[in-house]
Amino acid sequence: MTAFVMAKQIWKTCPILIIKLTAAPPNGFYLMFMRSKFIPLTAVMLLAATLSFHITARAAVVPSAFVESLTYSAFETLRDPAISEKERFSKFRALLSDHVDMPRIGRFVLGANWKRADAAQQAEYQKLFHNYVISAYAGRLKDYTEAKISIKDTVSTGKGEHIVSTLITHPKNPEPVHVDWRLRENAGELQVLDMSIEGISMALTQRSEFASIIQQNNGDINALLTRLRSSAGAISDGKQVSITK
Amino acid sequence: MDLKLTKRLGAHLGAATVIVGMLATSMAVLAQENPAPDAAEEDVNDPFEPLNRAIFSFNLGFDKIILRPAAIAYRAVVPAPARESTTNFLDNLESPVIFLNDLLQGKPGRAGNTLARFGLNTVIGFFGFFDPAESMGIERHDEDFAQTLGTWGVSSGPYLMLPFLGPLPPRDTVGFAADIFTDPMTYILWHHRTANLALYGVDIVDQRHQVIDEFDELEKSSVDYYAAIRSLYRQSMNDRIRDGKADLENLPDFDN
Repeated sequence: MTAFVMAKQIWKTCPILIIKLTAAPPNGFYLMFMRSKFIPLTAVMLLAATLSFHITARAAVVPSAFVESLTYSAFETLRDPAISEKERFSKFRALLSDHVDMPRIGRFVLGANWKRADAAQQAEYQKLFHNYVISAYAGRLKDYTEAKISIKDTVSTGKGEHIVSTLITHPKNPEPVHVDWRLRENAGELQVLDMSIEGISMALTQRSEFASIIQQNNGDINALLTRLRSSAGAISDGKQVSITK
Repeated sequence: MDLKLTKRLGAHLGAATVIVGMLATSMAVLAQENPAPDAAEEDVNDPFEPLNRAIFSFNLGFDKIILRPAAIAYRAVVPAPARESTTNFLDNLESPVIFLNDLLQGKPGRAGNTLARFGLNTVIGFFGFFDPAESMGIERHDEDFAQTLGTWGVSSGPYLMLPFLGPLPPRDTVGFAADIFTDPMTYILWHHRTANLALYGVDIVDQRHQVIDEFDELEKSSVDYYAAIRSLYRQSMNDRIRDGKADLENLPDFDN
């Protein structure tokens, strides 16, 4: 997944190295090698160094690189004209399962009602929630597949959590959108915990919606499940999942 | 989501009497309220929910029949550069209110930024139709009196949905009214009712057309649109009060 990011980094770094080498003030030692194979050799060595740095960096999972590669894969999946809607759906699902902490988010979004639900309800809810997120976010993100993401900074909040601030610029939109990614290390792997768009936490918003549905039905968790089931039905009918425009 | 829309919608009514009436009611409600809600449990503070929901449906109807079609027509008919210039022009007109509230919040740096933008864009930017300040790296930010009250520690009070105006809890209603009274345009156009209404009309359509796709998608993908908007409004207001800085101390707690 990070192959793209690595390739991009190398591509970015490579010309700079060459410029640095060739623009260095000429001294005797340097001049000796000026016409030899020194420059290409050094360039290759430095390139190798950069590469190995990126490989080690990947092993330790750099939060910003994680966000870059995840958004790249997500946008790529959503816009790829070569795959069928069904494939798109399952690729997007796989991305979410691998890189988003869906079980924890699901529990959070159900809030206090999670503890009130019985085991069967919890299990069904998690399944329905997963499907709901796929359809909702495929739709919400589809207009952004041509967008460029730039990393502003990363703050580590301790407890293995990081907030990566990004600006998403869309050719259609004059103003960039500020998105914060809250990541958590789970068993050495980074996973998305929440996404804040202009300070609006998607998890909190979702929680508010679900709480409201349950409250309106006098605390009946099944009411929410029914609602989610009907939107899941719409997904499998292909009504809501036409991800591409 | 641009929530300035609500403000503009309200301005559209242009009825000072209604505003003053609301102001009085809001003050009364504000006086009774209310400890700051815990960020994570903010979904609770909506004592007038049934009424709010009814008004929300009314507003949605108004939007579906009048506002959204107008915004779509505007997007279809007016070419993009003209729309962008219109947005710039209207943004520039907000500068005095932004400047005042920068000062009220004790942020001289941001006030200077607003002043510089206003000067540059009015003079070089042809009365604000262009935004040369932006290309010079002086970026726009917004402020209003509701945000100022927020920085002073006033909590929003219970959620309120007003007809035409959208979500406006007491604090923000007070802010909204204060913005109208501190906006020089209110006085410049005091005796030019038609011009005033036309300006508001363009402003509303301009605001609405910028978020057509976003709101369509949100409505389609939410399971409870009313609750989604309520949560979005509050979180967005809090974000604007913090000037977009993440509140690392009060992140939602995913572990309990």
